[in-house]
Amino acid sequence: VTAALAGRSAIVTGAGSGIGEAVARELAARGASVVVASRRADNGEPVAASIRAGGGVAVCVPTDVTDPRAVEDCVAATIDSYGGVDIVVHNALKSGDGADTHGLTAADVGRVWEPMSRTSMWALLYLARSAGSALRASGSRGRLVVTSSAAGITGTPYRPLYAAVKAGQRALVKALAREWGPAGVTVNAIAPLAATSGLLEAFERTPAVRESIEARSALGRVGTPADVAAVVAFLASDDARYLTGQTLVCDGGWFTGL
Amino acid sequence: VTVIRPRFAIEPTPFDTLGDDGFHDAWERPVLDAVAAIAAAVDAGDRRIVVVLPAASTVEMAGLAHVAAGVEAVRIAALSAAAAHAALGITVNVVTVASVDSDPDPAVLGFLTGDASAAVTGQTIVSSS
Repeated sequence: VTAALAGRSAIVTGAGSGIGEAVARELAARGASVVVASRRADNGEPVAASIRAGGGVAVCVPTDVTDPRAVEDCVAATIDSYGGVDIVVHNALKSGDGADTHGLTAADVGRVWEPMSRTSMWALLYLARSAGSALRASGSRGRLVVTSSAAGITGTPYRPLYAAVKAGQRALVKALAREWGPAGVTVNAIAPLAATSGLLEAFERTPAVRESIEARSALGRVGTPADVAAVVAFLASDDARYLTGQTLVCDGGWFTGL
Repeated sequence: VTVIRPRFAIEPTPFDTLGDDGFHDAWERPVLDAVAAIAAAVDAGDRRIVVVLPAASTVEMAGLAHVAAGVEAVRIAALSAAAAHAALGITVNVVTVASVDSDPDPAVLGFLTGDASAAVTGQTIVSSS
């Protein structure tokens, strides 16, 4: 690992655990000064403290990404601490309340949809409003990376509202890449598959789920959050300066439909 | 047969200056309306559902990020519905047109709403006439 991101500042949402935590650690390991933006301080503080203990630069800014004022405060704190915002990784997602399936009543659709839409899409709007000018000021160092999903490419009968939200993210990334491209900022999405706590719990309940994923995966394994974080670090680096408006599927070859 | 045509206002606005109402109208409302319309068509026993949307090349542009998000979410919602209801013999397809005011080619629409397309579902057909 090199210090390819030295001198850059990064905000990572949903950084209190899972992929977000791994991304925060990876960016810091590559020299970035990181804001661990986690809704709960008791998740985010230990991550930031651990990064600092390892010689990295990190602070936790507890942030509910569905609250525009909280997002503003997070961006302001980043600028105060590090002098600007070069990299934003939007990874936060709150799953809906109830089963995401077809045939729901309107009220049930709302309960499933609302948390996902708020944390995935409205939060992107708030981040753009609050950090857009700072990212553009970073010019060719400016990066926005959004955690989407292969479900947003294909759709799925199993989580249809989730797939719609993730599709919205992908389209937004493509359009925003054109919007911010003239300033040098790249905007990309990732579509990861990794053994986060939620997936590990599913494996515990139904071991066949793991076997099914491993059987379909070209690499024959379920990746780790660190596997995904390495891809995000690439997108954040100068090596990815000519790559924008894309969704990079990082799932060990589980989905190869593009 | 049901043909669903969500309405999108093409009003270019830099994404970081977009207001809450503009985002709601481009993102939240059309997606939830389309999901409800597809569900209603299935409940009504319709066997052919076609969703008409502006083409990605029309909306995935600077200033239209909010519209692009809504359009693509509706498209993927239709594809998800196609997979969910295929076993019942229900087809759900998407036709994309050049602009929000363009009409799909009647021949394409006729095919997707007729018997000849019984095995075609979850597809996106570009129709620019």
